Amino acid sequence: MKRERIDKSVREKIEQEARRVYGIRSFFNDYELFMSGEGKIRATTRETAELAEYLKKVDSVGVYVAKYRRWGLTFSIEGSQILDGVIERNVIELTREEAKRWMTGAPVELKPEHKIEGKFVVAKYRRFYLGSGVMGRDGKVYPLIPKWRRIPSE
Amino acid sequence: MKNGIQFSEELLKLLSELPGVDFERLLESYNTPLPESIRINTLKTTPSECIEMLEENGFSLTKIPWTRYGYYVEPKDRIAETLEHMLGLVYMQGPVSMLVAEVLDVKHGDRVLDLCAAPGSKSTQIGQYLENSGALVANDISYERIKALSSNLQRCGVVNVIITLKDGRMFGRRYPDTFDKVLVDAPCSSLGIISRDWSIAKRWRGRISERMSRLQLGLITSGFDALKPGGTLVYATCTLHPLENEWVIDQLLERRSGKAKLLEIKIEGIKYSKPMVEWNGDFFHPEVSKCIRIYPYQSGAEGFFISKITKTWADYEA
Repeated sequence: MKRERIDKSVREKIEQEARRVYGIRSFFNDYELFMSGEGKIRATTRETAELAEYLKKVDSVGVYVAKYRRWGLTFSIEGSQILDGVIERNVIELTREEAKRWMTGAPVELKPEHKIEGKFVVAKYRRFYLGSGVMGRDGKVYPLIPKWRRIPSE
Repeated sequence: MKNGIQFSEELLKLLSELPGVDFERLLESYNTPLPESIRINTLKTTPSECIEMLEENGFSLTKIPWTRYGYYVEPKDRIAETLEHMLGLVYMQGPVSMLVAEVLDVKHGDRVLDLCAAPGSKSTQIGQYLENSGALVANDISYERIKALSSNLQRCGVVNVIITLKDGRMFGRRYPDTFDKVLVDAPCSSLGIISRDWSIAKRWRGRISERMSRLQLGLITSGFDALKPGGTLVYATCTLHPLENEWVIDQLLERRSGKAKLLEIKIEGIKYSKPMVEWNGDFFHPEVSKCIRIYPYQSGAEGFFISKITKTWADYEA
């Protein structure tokens, strides 16, 4: 798997986007970030990154936390969970039924109490973040849940 | 045919000849379905929070006495499709499988190598115990199995992990004296988990265990060489054949004479047996007596062989 440490200037650009869209002021500060192809960002600890350098040929390091493309910044389930407590905007709170629906990959309806600016949101059930979703033109939010992670729909 | 399971004649002969094994109870245990069990992933939740969530949704949980975060769960066959599972709050894992990582006794800040890691049950458990301190190298030789390993480590939120796709037998040569803890959960003939897959009983032949034991010896030797002096290696299989268990440990002690030392395994809450002292007239090294065997009829679940080995400072103090 391709793996490149994200340099300071790119990291600053991603941090700006995270602040603009989600109000995040502390963007994976304790982690080393790597770009691993298709705009995917992986995070790991400094010690792990150093050991990976020593081992040389490795398949992957850390966990996939976010995707940064021209059209925006989105978070994986684990990425949004690591950012617990620092995401200030565009969070939608779901009931258990809605969260289950989200995890099947099906869209959920926005509610009047959801104050959303722009195209991207992060969903939350209880204290657990469920990753990013995209606003559709129909006013629904479409979750970005990878197929392998989806609960089979009944 | 024994209560529906088709055994190869060779296997029936082997099982009936294994010293210290209650043959009738063993056959009966193979006919008993394994209980369903989960480990609560404390990287993401707490036991009380997770139990509350599952109970609210109709599950009933019973603590497994020999592991910190393991629970039997009922009703069966439903947990894999719950929110809690998909979010990585729980991991489905056999009750005795959880014991293996407990025996490894991972400490904060350890550098750990899981040599045969896929699909990731014990790697995710080790990651949980490290609490994202230190580092975990999860290796497997199979590209297909690495995909499942990677998904499971992602789902459980193990940040301090490096996944490698290598032949485990090269680690010792390439990275000597590198890891504080090494787990060799070796591929085996799986005679301890026949109740999960009856076809194992039909397929088993003596030559499978012979071939496996050579591979297992290569893996444990490599894992041992990759271990730092003073470090701990756990070698485990889910099989009962002495060639894949006691013999492998005996051979490691011979190959790394003076450096490899067996450690006593102290566990509570589960019955277990002593290892075999000889096989086919050949006596094993006396240190081998520190290993343990858990039969399916003792655990009510899987059968396992577990050994714990340390690397002494012998050569390093000279």
